[in-house]
Amino acid sequence: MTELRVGIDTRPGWTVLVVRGKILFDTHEPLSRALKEAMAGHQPKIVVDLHEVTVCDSSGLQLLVDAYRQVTAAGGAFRLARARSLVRRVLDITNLTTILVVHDSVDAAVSASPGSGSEREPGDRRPGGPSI
Amino acid sequence: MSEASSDSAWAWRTATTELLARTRFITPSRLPAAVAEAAGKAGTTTRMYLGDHEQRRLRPFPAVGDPFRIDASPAGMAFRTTSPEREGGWLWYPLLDGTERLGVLRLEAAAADRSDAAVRAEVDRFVALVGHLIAVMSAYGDAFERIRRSEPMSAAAELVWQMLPPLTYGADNFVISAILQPVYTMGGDAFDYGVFDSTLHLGIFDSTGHHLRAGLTTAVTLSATRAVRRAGGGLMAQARAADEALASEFGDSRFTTAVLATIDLASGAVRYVNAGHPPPLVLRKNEIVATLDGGRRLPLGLGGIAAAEEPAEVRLETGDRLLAYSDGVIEALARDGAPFGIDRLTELAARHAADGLPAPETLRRMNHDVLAQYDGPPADDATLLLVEWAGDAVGRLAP
Repeated sequence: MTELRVGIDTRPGWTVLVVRGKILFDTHEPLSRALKEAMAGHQPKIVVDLHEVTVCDSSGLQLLVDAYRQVTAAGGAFRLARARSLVRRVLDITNLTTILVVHDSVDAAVSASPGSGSEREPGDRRPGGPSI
Repeated sequence: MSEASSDSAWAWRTATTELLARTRFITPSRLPAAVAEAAGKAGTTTRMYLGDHEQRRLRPFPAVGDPFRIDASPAGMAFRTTSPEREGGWLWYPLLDGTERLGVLRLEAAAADRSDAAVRAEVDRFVALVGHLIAVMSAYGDAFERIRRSEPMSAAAELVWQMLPPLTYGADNFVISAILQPVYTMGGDAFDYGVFDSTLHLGIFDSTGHHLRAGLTTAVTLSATRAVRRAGGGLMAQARAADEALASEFGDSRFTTAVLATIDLASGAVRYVNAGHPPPLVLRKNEIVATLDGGRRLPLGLGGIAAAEEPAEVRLETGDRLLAYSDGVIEALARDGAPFGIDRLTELAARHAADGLPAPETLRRMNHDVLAQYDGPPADDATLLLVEWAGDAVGRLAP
């Protein structure tokens, strides 16, 4: 599958993943890999730029939630930027915007204060799950 | 009552007794023969047809001869309207398990005079028993399933189908009906319902991922919510149980979007929790009068952050319909944005409701309209669930 490409950009202290294409259950591997690499460091700070993403299915959402939880648990920061209407809509309908805050620009994502919603812990801790 | 009429009614009564006696210790494959032998007491041959799971064809059981198209045949007409249909010397009778449509039974019209009330009542009773026998015997073998499947089912679809309640149920003053696609390969979508006293409990579910992985997630969610419901637990407790079950069973962030709801069948009061699912609609005539977008929380499996403390409420009026759907429906109806998809969905619901059809037939047609939007197989599971409250909905299901 070549429907998804991920470019890597940086801001001081931050990794910016610039995603292009469709994030679907059978295409999301490049994003999964890029997230894994970006999360490898100490207290990772990651922005996922969704401007060129046309569709994100539930597998894609799961991938973003997973990354958010792992990064948050490691004391880092995980933010989204520039989601377009369809992607924005699935984030809204699923209520995931309550944890995955979407910023208007990469710069806004990087400079947002930690309290602006995106570094909260999802409610229940997972017994036996990954270290969160 | 004429002597001939009384004789015929009596013969049908004998046939019903005979059917009970003949089916006590037989395998499902022998049901059609037993029905034919019993109906012979009333002077008619019989031929049994079962609807396929995509609800497009009626297939002969035993599998000899051609199937009929539900959309374009007198046999199909009987299935669509759940009313007997005359075709020359034949009478096509809908086969129902209570209110769930299973197929049709062909009788000889001369032996089943429906203009005679006494005969009609006895024939109705005989055919109702055939429907119940199919439902009961389905638990014991694959004879019916083999006829009803037009292609093999995936393991995921097998898992999900066996968890679902019957597609249609109606009693007293309500009817609930649902339809799911793609029938043979679905995985993550499901629905549930159950009545206790005067409360109708219902749920619609859509899990992340595809195929067996999604099916397993849905299985855990549905089992967790159902177990709590059956123990008397409320909506919030059901949602919490799903959170806990998914978190303890799987190590990743998989989730299920869902709406869990109760309808008080006496007052029409609806209480619901919306866990990240496309909001169901309340339809009054052709208008959307409410959208179930309150009671919001994260999808099941992701815990209770930003969860509503209490279920949200909305009240149905007599004749209102509650329409729930999964995102696969909207994606099919609108490749280019949400509002259009919901408009199309509402328009379809209104158009088919205007025909005064039984709820399952409204959904069958809506479902086929949705599927017609795809060039190939559906890209995602698509579920429609319709509740009709306090009108003559149940009356439309009777033969």
